[in-house]
Amino acid sequence: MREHRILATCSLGLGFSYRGFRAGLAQKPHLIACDAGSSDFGPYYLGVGRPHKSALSIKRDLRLLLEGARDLGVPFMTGSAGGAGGDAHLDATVALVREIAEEKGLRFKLARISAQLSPAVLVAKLAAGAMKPLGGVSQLTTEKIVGLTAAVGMMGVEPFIKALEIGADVIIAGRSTDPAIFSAVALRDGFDPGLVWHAAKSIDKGYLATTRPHEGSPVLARIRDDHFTVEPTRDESECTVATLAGITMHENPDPYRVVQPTGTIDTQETVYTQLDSRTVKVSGSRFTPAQSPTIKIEGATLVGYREILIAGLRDPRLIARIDDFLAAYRQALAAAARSMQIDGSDYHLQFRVYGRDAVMGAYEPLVHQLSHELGLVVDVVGRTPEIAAAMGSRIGGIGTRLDIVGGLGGGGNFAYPFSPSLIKVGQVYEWGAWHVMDVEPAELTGLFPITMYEI
Amino acid sequence: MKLSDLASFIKSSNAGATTLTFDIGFDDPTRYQRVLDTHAISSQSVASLYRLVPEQVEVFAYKAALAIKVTIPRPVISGGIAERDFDGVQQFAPLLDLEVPWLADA
Repeated sequence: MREHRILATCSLGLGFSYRGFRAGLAQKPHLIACDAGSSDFGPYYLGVGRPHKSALSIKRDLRLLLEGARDLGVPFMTGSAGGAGGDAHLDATVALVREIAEEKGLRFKLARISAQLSPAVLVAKLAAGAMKPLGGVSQLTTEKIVGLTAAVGMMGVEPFIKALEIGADVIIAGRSTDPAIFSAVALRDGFDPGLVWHAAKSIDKGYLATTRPHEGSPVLARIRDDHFTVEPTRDESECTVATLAGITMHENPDPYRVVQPTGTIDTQETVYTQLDSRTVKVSGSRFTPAQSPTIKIEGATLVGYREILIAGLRDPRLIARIDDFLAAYRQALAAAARSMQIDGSDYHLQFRVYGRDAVMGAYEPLVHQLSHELGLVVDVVGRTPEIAAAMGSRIGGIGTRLDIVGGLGGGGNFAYPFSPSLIKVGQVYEWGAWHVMDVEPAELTGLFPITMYEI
Repeated sequence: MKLSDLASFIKSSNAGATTLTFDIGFDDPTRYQRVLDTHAISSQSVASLYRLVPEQVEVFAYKAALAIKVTIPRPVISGGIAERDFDGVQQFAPLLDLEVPWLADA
């Protein structure tokens, strides 16, 4: 019976066990792969075009992965490069790959696969009625699309397969779905899609398939014709039915279905068996093809510039009247804004009251239960840096001297821990696009151009 | 009994940027099944904890992981200007005290 082996590490830059990785290489995998990013960190990184993790930490992992793959003569692939997976992030990772190749004398064919989409493409899709919002997001408009700082489409497995067919040894891709990064070789070699996709999903976060993720163990999937197994490659680590079954539950709205561009990974009939203390066998997983393919779109919109003030409140009389205080504070700041010819629509003011409802907001059941101490974060976002700075310069003075309890007499409401008390946070982005886009089959590769390099 | 006394883990996280998902796990299949059978975790009970309507709450029984999953909409899309918890990991507290009808263990 044939067996396809995939060696997977965790997200690039998180660090993995060196010993565990060497043990994994000794298993002679057919593919070495890892994920390199996520939208979990918010739209900021897509908007500013910066990688989420440091170059040093990414490079450490990349060096081991590239050397290992070249030693064995097997492909290495990663996707969602640089975190957000736009072109700026992708190119930052490609630059590190080139550095490592130069330093270590490695030679290979490199495929760079872009996931960044132009406004023109998205506007055309909108006009064709091919854009649907995910969850409760608002409808897209041409104006909104043009206003996006950057947008990416989450590629599926097709561009990876195409890059392999062109002869790539190393594939660095922009934004991708996690399992797509691990599926290309096995699918091309004709293994059952249900097993391949679920195996890919099981290993796509590396050590999260193990019971003690802090050990940093890479994981190895062995895919056969009627089942697959997952095991950690670091000696003392373990994979269990609980950790494997937990993976399709993790950060997923539905524990049985994981949607991909061309279909859904369906685990309703999946059977998990603990083979030994550290290995799990999985069978019965299905890949249900979609009626027509879709690509998920992520786009970042610049909303403004944020400045914050962190202040401690300890006066029980003030805390008991916190809502009156905040209402008066907001009014006083509005007056200050008018005096500087700043319109109410040019800034967004939020009071985050730690000790009351800062964490849960509308969902907080204990909103009336106040602590003896409150942490107040005054959060102002201005449409421009100048507006943000102007409002920021007023929030401290106005807030600390606002007397609603009587007899303040020269003290202040705010216990500042820091000097400077005003903190410039920087650009604020939102997900301006969080949509599913209908595509033609040819667009599964057509939207994601591949550039080949001889390294 | 409080759910926190019966479950081995109760956690929350984003599931994408527009939904929040809770995973409530149990140590053994018997306990999992018993809690499931009480229907203490339901669209109605979670809706009332989070001031939603039951139609907004989805409950999944996930035997393979001995877990009950509950998914609700996020009040705002994650990572935006009004974000409070952009990974959604500290939103589960109301579930801890959820009352589960429970006769003393035999």
